[in-house]
Amino acid sequence: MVTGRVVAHGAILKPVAEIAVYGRSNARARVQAVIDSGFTGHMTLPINAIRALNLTLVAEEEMTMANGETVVFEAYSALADWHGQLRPVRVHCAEADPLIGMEMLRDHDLQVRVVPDGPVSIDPLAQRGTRAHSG
Amino acid sequence: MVHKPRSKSDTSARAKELYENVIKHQLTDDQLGMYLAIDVESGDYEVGQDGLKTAHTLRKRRPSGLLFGMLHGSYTTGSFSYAPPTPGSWSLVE
Repeated sequence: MVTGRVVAHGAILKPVAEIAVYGRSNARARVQAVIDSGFTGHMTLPINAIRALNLTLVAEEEMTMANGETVVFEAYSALADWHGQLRPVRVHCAEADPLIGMEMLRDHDLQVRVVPDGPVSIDPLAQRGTRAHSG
Repeated sequence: MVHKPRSKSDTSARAKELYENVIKHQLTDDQLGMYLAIDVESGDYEVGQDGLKTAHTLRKRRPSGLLFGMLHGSYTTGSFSYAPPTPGSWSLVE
């Protein structure tokens, strides 16, 4: 299980989980990432983290922003420690808090208690022996 | 191979040109939504379900290529908190 907590910055609440991200030559970063269900990709990291990890550029990609504008981002390749296993992830370069997006959360159960310091948990469905509700 | 400096917007514009003029006519409807990696220098491309694997496959073939990633049928690969407007997604309650 990946766990975290809800971090409060004044009136702003952010669900945050810590994961380790690996780059080339065994470079490793501990990342406090905001869980963002509005982001469709795996992860974002700021450029300084991407350079420190010496990540490999995969491609440039366009993404649609909340206001409908499209912006070109660089997408990099990394490995993330996800439930104790290394998982290939596409990392979009964005100068903001690192994000964990929906592609990372696919087939997981996400629970957030949305109060300051509230618990956050991300469970793979298979590990819990549960199935998605079929309605 | 030495790349000429190319801005991000140049890369995406060239990739879209290649897609519209050549690549999309070589792809099939059952590949709609699949990840498409395009080397804007050579015009070579690769299509597949997994973005990383698809780009890596093209990178092996084009080690010095300049890759742009998109989806077959969509220039964008994803979004930040954007949901395309859906008819009927809201209505006034009388």
